[in-house]
Amino acid sequence: MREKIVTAVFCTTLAAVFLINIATPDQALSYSERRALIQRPSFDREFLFSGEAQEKTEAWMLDQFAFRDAFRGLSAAADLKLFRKKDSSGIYVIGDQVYKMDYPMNEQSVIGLARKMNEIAEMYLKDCTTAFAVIPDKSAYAAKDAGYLNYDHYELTGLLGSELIPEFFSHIDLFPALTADDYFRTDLHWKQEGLGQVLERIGAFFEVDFPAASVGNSVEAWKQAGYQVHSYAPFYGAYYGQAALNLRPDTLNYFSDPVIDSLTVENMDTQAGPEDQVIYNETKLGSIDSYEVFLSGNSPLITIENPRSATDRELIVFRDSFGSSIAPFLAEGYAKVTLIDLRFVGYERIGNFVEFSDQDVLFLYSTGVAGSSDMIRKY
Amino acid sequence: MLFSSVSFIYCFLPVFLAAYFVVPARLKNGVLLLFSLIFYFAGEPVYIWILLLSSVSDYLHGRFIGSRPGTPAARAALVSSIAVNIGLLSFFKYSDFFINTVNSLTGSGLEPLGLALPLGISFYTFQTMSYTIDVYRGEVPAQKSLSDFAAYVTMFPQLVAGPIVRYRTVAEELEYRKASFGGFALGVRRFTVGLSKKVLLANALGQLAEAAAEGTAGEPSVLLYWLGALGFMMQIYFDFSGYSDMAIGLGAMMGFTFPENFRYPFTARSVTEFWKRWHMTLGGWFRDYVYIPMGGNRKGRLRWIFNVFVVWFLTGFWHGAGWNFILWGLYFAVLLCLEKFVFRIFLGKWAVTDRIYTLLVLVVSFVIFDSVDVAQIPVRIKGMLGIGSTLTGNPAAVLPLWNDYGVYYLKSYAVLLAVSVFASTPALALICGKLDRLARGGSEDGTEGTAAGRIVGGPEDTMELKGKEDTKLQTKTGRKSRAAQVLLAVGEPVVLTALLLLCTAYIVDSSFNPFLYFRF
Repeated sequence: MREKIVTAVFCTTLAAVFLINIATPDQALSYSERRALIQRPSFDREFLFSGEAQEKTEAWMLDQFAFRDAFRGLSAAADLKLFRKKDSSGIYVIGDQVYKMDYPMNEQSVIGLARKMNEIAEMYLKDCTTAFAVIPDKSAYAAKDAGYLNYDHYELTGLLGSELIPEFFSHIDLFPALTADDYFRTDLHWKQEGLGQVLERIGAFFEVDFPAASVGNSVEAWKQAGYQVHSYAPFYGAYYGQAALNLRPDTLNYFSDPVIDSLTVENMDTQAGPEDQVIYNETKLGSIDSYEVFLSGNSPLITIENPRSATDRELIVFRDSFGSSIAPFLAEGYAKVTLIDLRFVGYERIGNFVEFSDQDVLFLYSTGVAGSSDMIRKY
Repeated sequence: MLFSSVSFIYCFLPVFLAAYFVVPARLKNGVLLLFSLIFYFAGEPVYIWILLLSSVSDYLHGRFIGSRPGTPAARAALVSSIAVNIGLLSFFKYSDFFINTVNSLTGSGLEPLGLALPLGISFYTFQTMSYTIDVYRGEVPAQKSLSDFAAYVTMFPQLVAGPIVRYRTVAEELEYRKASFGGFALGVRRFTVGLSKKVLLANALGQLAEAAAEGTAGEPSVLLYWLGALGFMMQIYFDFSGYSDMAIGLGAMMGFTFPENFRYPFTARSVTEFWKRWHMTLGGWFRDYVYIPMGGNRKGRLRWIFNVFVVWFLTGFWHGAGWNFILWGLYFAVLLCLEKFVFRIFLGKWAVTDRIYTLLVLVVSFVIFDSVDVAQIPVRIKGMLGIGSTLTGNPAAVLPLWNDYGVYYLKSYAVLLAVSVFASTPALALICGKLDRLARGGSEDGTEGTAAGRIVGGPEDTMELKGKEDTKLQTKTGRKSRAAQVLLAVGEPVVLTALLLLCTAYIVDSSFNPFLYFRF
């Protein structure tokens, strides 16, 4: 009898999963993984004889597998709870914060970033006041104490600083200005409400008064400082899908005041439409990456002009995605802020679009870019 | 196509099983052949002609040899059959090795051919050679049906990574086999356990070995070198034995009895015993078709040593076209000779020291096996001894015993390592066997009565269990345990389904899914 039960259960399981997968229509996107899913290949003669048919068919089936998210969750839970692994594919949870292993430091990449920054400085920044600031990965605040592998943030900034030409670059230390709570729980990025002290440090270096500087890192504090609070929930950060665990999603808050409302944006991405010429693009909320609400996401070049500015000073920021959320507050202190993302435009070409004179210049990069400086394009 | 892929488990397998069990008995080999060709074509559309060529060639050679037993013509046909198989294997697997060796010895600039290794060629050429040799020896009659012979050669469960199923093992079952619920359930158990070994253990151990290799490049420590070595040793065991379990399980579902390939090799008390438990079908092949025809141990000590070195040179070379594989084989030849003439002084006296010795020499052997080139071997072995540093470049530097990196991975994989150690012993088979016999009232009815014991081990383990435990249980209980019956009737399908779904979860979530033995 037992043999019949084992046989019946096995065959039923295979048949059920087979039929469910046939019956389930293919999805175009995975919101939890924030990516487009592989679509059904065309099973034509060329494909079948390509030698890659099996590999590509498997990739399609894996992406479109029924209850994919639930299976991924089961796998991650088994890694962490059953096998007691400290991380699952580099993702780990401390409290209700999700982290990604940021280890070891890629020294060659950091040196490569410094080399590129030196070249940019020599090409464009001779008359500018220039500083660099490295945004710590949030694991820098929690990993070590919880027994996870992590390098000292100051090792990275020290190495970068030692490789930069000292006449050009000063260092703005952001590490003391942040805590792990200033980042989204399910995402790598910082939250706008956590930027008060960051703005204070940048303002102190460039001698600019940012209205948002020193605002406390709670929504209540921002309200009291005169900002209007806009909230979006649930916000599924990049780590939410990677962790594949049953986590509480974040709330994404963004802040405005009359000055921010008056800012004018020129997004020079060739793909950008009229809806992308705004500080907060609310059409992005609920998309694959709701963080793109800030300046409509990645763009090689954006300028923000502040018609209410009491000064004519300008700021140029070489930045990655972290720069999008801090930009509105930086723009409150300048007449014009130019945001350059060298992951999408080469620095040899940027002189064709931006006039460098005596502006303030800030290189504001996260450790992620420092660890993968190949992304910074020269051409 | 990988067994541990969703396209196999949830597409190919259910369609195949449905087709196989729907058709009448006389068409089953045809269905098996058709699906086996589809299975092979999916991963290797170009080289399928080599598989077909090998099948047709050995079928014709077999018929020719079988029709002229004992004649010089039959002998010539045997030589021809072996030449075709060895020729195919040498051309596709070893030509670049030979070219590179000639280039390095003579300074010539011969261009390597850069041929891709046809999937499973090392396995199916050995299987078909065993067929023609056995026909020549008169041990099996030549197969008259080309489609039945092709079904044997291309049989998808064992086609690409073994076990090496000799024709004579399945000759009768090719003609007549009876599928049963008992056999199918046994197949389900073996397949699921094999899949779990591969997906839950081998893949994770592979990640540990990979992390350790990365760590030794940047932050070397003695602990990391050991973690890397142990991780790989366990990975290759669970990878290969998992694949063999799946193959045996799939065969059992159809009514075939494939030979066992592993029998808890890490519990061996000597290297000699290890090779009676590791890749048993390959060891048996070389024993029957190389070692014994060369005289075995019957022609004096020196000839025996020579025979051992030849066989282990070939065994190493079979595993890969690289000097590290040859060294790996010769390393075992040296150890087998030492065990025969020197180590016998202490081997067999204390189980603990025997096992420590065996595991230590095995760890070193898998370092040799896993090294990308010969130069890496001393670096890794010295690293395990705490000598040398890849960072300072000083070969005499002393490595730290451990560092943060090593401790992190030890902690992170501690449970997995513990589970792996447990799973590499017969302990689980023992527990399952006890439960099974309790449920059946200590009955002895062959396969059925020892089915649970066979979940994680081969028949020889079952024999061991029977000998040591069954008699006691039978006399003690003598009647069926209702609790054990209920536990197994409910628990077994639940556990097997849970394992299958957990494996599915890991497959869906993971891109790290290589079968190590596919490269051989």
